[in-house]
Amino acid sequence: MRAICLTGLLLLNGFAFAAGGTQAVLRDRCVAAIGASGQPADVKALHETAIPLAESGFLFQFADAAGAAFSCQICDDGNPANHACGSIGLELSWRPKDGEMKRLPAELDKKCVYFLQKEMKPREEALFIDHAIVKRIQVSADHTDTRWIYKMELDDNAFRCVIRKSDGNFRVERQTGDDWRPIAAGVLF
Amino acid sequence: MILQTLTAFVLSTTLQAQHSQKERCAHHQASGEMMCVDRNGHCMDVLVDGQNTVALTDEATAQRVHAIKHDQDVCWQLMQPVSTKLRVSAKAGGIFPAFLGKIEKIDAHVFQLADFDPAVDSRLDQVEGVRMEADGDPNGTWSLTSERPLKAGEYVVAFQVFGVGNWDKQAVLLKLDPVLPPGPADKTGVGD
Repeated sequence: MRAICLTGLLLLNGFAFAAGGTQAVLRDRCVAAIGASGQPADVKALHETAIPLAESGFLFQFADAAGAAFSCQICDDGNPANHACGSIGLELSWRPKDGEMKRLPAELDKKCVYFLQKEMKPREEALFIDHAIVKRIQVSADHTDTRWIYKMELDDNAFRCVIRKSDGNFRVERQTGDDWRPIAAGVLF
Repeated sequence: MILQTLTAFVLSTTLQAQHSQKERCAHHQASGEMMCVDRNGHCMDVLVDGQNTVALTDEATAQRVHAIKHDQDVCWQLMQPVSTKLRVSAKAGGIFPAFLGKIEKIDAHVFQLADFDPAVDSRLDQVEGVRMEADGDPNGTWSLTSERPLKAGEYVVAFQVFGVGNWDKQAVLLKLDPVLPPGPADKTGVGD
């Protein structure tokens, strides 16, 4: 009996450690995204809170003394065993004190991969993320002054994701001969 | 059969690219309200910051504007710059005024021409975060609002006007200037 209890305790500790490890990894992604967002911030000086969301997601908030705050909604989207995430890539926003919230560019490469695999996976597949396809997508950046461009290769087919810096408009395109044909479009931030 | 279809497609595509502005912007060759069904703006009058839109007839300008893939038939223009927070009103008019009836809604799709980068863009998408808001009665003026400030420059703005009876569209070549104030609001919709 004692052995069973001990095993149970160890297992619980293991889960807690794994969950804590995941939270730390996701939190680090948020911190990296804040640093890369272009919105000035000293993350070390911000007050952090973490709110668990559903099965494997978190809402991290990073508030400064003046009342402005970053919000980072993130899911454990890189884990093939987790089927609870609706997309890939975190959602980052910033709200000044008493001001209007604004969405910030974050993990755009992951979002491009999400939209490409969404178009490529079989229609009948119910899961939002096909990790087998995601794994086969090779991404490289080729940015310009006005566009973030991610070149993507999947099974010897060339794709690209073109994101307009001015307003977050994006297109995922497939290369057909000399042409680039849109296969998905929308707004990323 | 396949060869015939392909030939027809290639010819059609080539002819589209060679359209003159006169051909592109001609109204439908029918009678009555069917004259309006191409919805290229012939069945309404549009006023932007106090200026009437006028037909864009200059072939060189039209060719330059249509060299950019924005999927708009740009048949109208404004001769003077207008505000980035422009006010627009529309009235049933043109060749068959009964087509539209009283105005219920005006929508706008905004394309910044200088934003097209031929090196990386297969087409020019509209500016995101732009919408029209009625100043009062829908038959009066509507104001353009944008989440991010619009830059000075040349734009195509496609005004979609929905009336009680039907809808029409004018894609207008214009210049926006953030320094200019918008025209006066008409909140009653009674007009002049």
